Amino acid sequence: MNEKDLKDFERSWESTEGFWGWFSVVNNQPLGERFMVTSMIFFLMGGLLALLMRIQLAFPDNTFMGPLVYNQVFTMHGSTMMFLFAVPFLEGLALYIIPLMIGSRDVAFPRLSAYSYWVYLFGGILFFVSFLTGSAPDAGWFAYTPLSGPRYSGIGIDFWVLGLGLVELAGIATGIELAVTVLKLRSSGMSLNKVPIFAWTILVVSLMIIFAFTVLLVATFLLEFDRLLGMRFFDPSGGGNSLLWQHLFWFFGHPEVYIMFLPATGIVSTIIPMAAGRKLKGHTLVALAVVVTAFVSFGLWVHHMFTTGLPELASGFFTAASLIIATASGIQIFAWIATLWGSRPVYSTPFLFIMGFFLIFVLGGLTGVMVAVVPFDWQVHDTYFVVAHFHYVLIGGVVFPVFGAIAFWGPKITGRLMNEKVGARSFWLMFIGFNLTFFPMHIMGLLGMPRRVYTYAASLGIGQHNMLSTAGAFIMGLGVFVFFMNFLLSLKRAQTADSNPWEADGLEWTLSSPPPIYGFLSPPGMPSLEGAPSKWRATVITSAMEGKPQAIQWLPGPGHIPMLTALSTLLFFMGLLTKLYLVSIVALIFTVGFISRWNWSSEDELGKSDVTKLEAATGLSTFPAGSQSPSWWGAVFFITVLGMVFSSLCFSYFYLWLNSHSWPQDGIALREPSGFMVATAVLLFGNAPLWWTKREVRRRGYRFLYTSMMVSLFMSALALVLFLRELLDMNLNFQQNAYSSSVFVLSAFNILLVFFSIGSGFHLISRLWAQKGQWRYPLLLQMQITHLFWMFGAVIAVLTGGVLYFLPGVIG
Amino acid sequence: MRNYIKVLTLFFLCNLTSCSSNSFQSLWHPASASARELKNLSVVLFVMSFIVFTVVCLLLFLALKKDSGLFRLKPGNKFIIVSGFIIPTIILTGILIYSLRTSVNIRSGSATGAETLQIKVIGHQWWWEVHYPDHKIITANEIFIPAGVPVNMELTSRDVIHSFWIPNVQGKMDMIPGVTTRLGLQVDNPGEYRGQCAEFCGLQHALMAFPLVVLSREDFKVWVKKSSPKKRPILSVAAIEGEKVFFKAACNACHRIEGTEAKGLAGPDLTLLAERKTLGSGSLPNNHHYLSRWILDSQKLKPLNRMPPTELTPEELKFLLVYLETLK
Repeated sequence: MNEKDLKDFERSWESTEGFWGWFSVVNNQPLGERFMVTSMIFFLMGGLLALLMRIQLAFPDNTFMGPLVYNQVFTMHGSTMMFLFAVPFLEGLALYIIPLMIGSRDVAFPRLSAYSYWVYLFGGILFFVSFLTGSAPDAGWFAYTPLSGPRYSGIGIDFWVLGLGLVELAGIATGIELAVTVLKLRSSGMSLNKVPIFAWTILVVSLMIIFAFTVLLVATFLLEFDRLLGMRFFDPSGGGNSLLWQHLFWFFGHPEVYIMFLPATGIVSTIIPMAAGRKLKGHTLVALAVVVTAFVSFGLWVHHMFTTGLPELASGFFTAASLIIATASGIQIFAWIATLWGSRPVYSTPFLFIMGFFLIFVLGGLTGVMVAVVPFDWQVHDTYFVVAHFHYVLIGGVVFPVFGAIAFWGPKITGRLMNEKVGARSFWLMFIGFNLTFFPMHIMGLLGMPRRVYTYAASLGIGQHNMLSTAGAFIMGLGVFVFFMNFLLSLKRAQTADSNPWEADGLEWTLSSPPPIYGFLSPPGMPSLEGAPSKWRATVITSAMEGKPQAIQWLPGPGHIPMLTALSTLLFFMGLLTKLYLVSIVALIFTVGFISRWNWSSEDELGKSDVTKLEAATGLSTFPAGSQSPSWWGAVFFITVLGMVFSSLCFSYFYLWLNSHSWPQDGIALREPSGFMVATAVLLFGNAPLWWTKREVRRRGYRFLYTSMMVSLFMSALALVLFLRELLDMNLNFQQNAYSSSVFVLSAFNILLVFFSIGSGFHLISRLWAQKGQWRYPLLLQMQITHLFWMFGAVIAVLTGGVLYFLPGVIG
Repeated sequence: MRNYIKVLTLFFLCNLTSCSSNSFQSLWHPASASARELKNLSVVLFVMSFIVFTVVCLLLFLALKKDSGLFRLKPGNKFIIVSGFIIPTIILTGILIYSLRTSVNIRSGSATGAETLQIKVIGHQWWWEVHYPDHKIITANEIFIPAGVPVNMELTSRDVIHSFWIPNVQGKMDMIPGVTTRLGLQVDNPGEYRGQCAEFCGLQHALMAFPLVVLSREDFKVWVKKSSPKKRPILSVAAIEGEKVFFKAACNACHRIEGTEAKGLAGPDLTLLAERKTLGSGSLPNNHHYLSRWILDSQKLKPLNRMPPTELTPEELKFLLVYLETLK
């Protein structure tokens, strides 16, 4: 590449300048940085809240804060740390570093990362704005119903639910993003068993996010339906069940712990080999342990519910599952010991944090085994023993590795080395402060101090322990302060970092520090993209398993659409919060509009001569389609999310059914299925022409598309009308009981999917129309994806019918 | 670094041994067979954890050591599988079996017999409603039981989820609205213990406790007799005035007194108020001083509880206290 071409190339990856340009950035590096900085600000805010709590609890019967404020403070502390700090930080780190690790130029969907950043930021702000209204959320980060229901809590919970909704949305979007990136954007020859361990953990965790976060999203929506619309999902007086919330919440909540912890082990498995100066021992075993942990973590949720009077056998099963997960962690721990054995490591700051992690986490893991033992949990559940346990796991298992990661990859990102001496001091302050704070909590718990109390009686004799704990918290806070001062000062005056200051292994260390915005000029082992026109962002995509180059993927440049879409998403949620439903409806229309504009990109198309030139030079297609295309994978994951939504709704339906005397409740007659069946049949027939065209389009050309799409659209629209009529004819009063609420929500979800299918079909046909009937190749991909959605919609319609109309008759 | 470690170890040892604290709300001071089982289990778990932690730390120390004969040891996959998987599996299986045995022992130890005493406890924001269905006794915020007799607690809640926990006696059990959960208790000897709500239940979760008073069988019989529904005693003039104040101030809207027109159910039953050891659900001693302050403005004593302040003249308060004194 000559100098002019190189300049053009670099310019094509730059963001737009100026104030508004800042809102249009889509590159992974600045967005990763924003995620990390924002989540660290939330971390500091959460930490300040923790210090306030420790001040209140320093003495028995202290009056620094009343119960109202204290409950708000501990709720916000927990929610901030769980939702706004840990996962977003790790996702931000992954957004930045994963493309560098796997030899890509960006992530798979740059605009999606921008969208999730904005949505995350707005959600976080919504959380904290609640303090200004004087009613911050105060039902705990777990928000158990009925305490969080409409009768026992105020608008704070609406802030919590809707803020959380946005943050979850961002989490899921980034999860899909990262999973597809690791699967499809690896450099040539990096087969799936050769990905760096950190990227592997991120892949596993992204898939976990897709499943777990979706369940929470559904749970929070159901709660909001109870609160806003008077539905009865969690209301025992209306046939609802307050334990349903706990099942849904912990089905998310337990994997959540591992969603935070597994990437942290990925960091540990990266830094330890660096310190030891050799490769990770038992790489395959560690990778396997990560997968086992991920799987088993979905079978553990009940171990948060041992005191709800569950049957013995169920509890025993969940204890056994909890113990399996302990062995998976055992594998990792001994792999690290084996790696370090006799290696004479240098005690650099990152390594110190990892050693701190090691000691704290082992202790936290052991108390974890203890609380998984049912009878022991009967005693210590919801006491300070558990508070001690999970802070050992989460601060030891997540915060220390995260600080290690900042010290480790920080120089790569900022190009400046942090002061090692100060780094070590900040570590010791944090380590000692941490143990002073949380070790005494084990004892407080054994001496009968329950969690979430704003005060305690002097007669309990736990005053000294609490005092120690408060002192420790301030020492730890000082350590955090020193660490960040060190980081900030290093930006100003420290010496610049060369490309590999740690002499570590990995592709990211072959680049300069900071790396160029496009990562690799020519990704290792990849066909050169030199033939590509200069204003055209692109990267090579490879096969998901073997990592063989498959095609060239166009990547979008800067634009405001992601930010605008996020803004209208925020407005939609704000409308719900303030009960200005008109605002919500308008915002929803705007969101749909922005999304269709988003997908209406024509910039991805090259001139014919460019295509020929590029394809000849690289031997790769410039039009990935089907399972080659990252978009196809994204669509599959998105459908998984929707499927998970449906499964969660069905779970709720069946759980409520199992715990009711009769189903339908309150003597409601089970409706005849005929209306629903006709609608479903129309929908299925509507699918047929699209399916047929998809099969024939390559052979017979695009001409069929118009006619068949028209037929499909017409049939689906008819089905939509029929489904809507069926819902209206049912004459459901969803405020009557939990049965009516769940039938209503399931039917509405089905209708929403039909509506969504019609929208995607309409989008396809209008693009074709806009191109004046000119078939262009990228439409093939859009058609495949549209078809996926249609098939999915049809399956859901059939299942919905079975669940709502047939099963109660058959079983009931 | 050595010094740091010494200081830390010293600190933890001090901390562990400084159990100078209470013996009435602590799982470390068991007062029943179940609680003893649970304590033994805890001890086993602590010892196991301590050993595992020490061994892991030792291995880490050896791994990091600069010069050691162990250098020639080259731990690989075999080492990882044996120490990370096989040994933990053996230990954990042992724990699982021991834990299942403990649960079975606790369940069978609290089996119900002919003698079993039934008690129903209903959680409220932020107090406890207590029923003795066999004796038709209704009280609140304290539980009397006989020593050596199995007790079957039926637990539920009127509003949000609470959790019933007396650490010296038994593990906790949640009180869930719309659901009835059960918990067996059997305490060896007479004594007094403290129970506290263990599930976050809103503003005053912290001040939702109660005393558990264990009496000898004979004393319990006396207590039952004294507390069973009976005719109201003949009141003194002052007490009659006080009763008027009670109704005038609409105390009866929320409180119930057996044998009178006071039938409110929103607040604790006051039939046995004068006998009660605590006020505000285990948060204050029940004496004249606190009782009058509680009546005038309980919000200062237990902020944001559900009882509104009452405006009374000193005269009225005096009469009311005399009346409340008769509730036993």
